[in-house]
Amino acid sequence: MPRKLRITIGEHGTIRAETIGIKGPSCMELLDLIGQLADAEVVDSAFTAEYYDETTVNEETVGKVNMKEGQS
Amino acid sequence: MSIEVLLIPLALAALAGGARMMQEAAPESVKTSSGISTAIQARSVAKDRRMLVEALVGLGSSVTVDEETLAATLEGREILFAPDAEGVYWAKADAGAWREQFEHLLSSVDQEYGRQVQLDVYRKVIARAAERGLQLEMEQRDGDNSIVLTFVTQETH
Repeated sequence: MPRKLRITIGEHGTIRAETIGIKGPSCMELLDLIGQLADAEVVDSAFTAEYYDETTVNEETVGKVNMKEGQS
Repeated sequence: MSIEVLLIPLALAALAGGARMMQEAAPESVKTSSGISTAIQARSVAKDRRMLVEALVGLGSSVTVDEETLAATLEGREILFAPDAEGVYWAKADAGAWREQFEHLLSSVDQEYGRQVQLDVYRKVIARAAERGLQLEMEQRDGDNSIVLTFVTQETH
C-alpha cells in the first residue's frame, strides 16, 4: 500500500493532517515534516487503528514467545 | 490511517475558548479623527501584518500603516490594529455607540484573515512538498471551502 499524507486546510486557516498506509511509530517522523511544510505547530494528535495494527501484532508475537519460553 | 494531527499556523492566534473578549481600552490608545468617548478593544486572530493588511483591503477598507499600527476604515468606522507583546493584533476603536458593529466588523476581519492564512498555507505546502519530493496525487475543494491535498510520500524526506 502506498504511503500517503493527506492535508486539509480549513477555510479559517487551521490544518488537519493524517497519514495513510503508515503503521507504527515511523509515522511520527511525519509530524515534524507537516509542521515544516505549513509553518504550523501541532496542537493535538491522535493515533488511529492502523497505528496500533503493528503494535498489536508485536505484542501478540511477544506473548507467544513468552509462552514458549514458559513451556520449556 | 495511522495518525491524525491538528495544526495551527504560526500566523494564526487562537481565540481563548473560541470566544472573543471585549475590553475597555485606555482612551489615549485610540486616537481617531472622530474624537474619543469610550474606547474598547478586542483580540483578533491576526499575527501577520502583511496578511492583515490584505484582509482589510479585501474587505474594502482603506489602510494607513505606520511603524507598528494599522489604521483601517471599514463601513465608515475607524479601527486601529496594534500588536501586543506576543505579536497578536488587537483591534481598538472609539466604539461606545457602535459596539455591536465593532464586533461584527472584527468578526469579518478575522474571517477574511483566515482565508488569507488558508491561501498562504496552501502556497507554502505546495511549494515545499515539491522540494521534499512529495508527489501531489489529488487536490480538491470540499463543500466547506477547505482544501484537501493528498501526497504520496517516500521512505525518507
